[in-house]
Amino acid sequence: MPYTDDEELPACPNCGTPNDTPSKVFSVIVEPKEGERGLTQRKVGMYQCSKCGTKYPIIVSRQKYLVIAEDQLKKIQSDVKDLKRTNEDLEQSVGSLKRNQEELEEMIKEKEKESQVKQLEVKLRALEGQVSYLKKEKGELEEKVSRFR
Amino acid sequence: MEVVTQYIDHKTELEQHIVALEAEQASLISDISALKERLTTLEMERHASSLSSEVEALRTEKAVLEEKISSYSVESVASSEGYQV
Repeated sequence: MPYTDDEELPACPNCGTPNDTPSKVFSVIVEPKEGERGLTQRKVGMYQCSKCGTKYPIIVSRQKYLVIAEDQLKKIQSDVKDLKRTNEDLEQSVGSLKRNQEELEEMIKEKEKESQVKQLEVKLRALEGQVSYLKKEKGELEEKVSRFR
Repeated sequence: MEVVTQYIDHKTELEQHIVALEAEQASLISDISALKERLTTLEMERHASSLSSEVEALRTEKAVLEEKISSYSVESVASSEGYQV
């Protein structure tokens, strides 16, 4: 397993020379200690120092495995399947609700526009009435003034 | 999209109509105010003219009456002194 820049290279325990390439990697299964659960798989790399020739092992990675009964595993798998289905249903519901929300927002915008137009129409009608009344009043006054001539 | 355009057109049309009517309303209010003032002036002029005629008539009537009174005074003096006028 190659090392990245961020990781510290394994160093020779004898002379401290870093080494990034193991000569061999093998897996080791470690049984649980008392009170622990599961097995641990360790990948161990064997390194040989290029300077002093010392051979030394370094644990490259660890993977823990739990051992459970088949019934229990099947139940967990079934639960996961159910949860995935529930999740899909919920995602569909959320999508549907979002679409409904968008439709409602659009409808509200339309209603607001209609309301604005209605208000303008009411104002227009009122103004038309007032202007008509004022025209009549002006006509009557002009008639009165003309009678003086 | 077409509905939105129609809405904007209708709204703009209404707003323009309202602006025009508001301008007409303001103009009519101003005209009516001026006409009321003119009418008041004309009514006062007519009243003044009528009053002048009445005063003139009263002056004439007064002058006639004064003339009549003065003629009675001369007649009365003449008869009391035995003159015939």
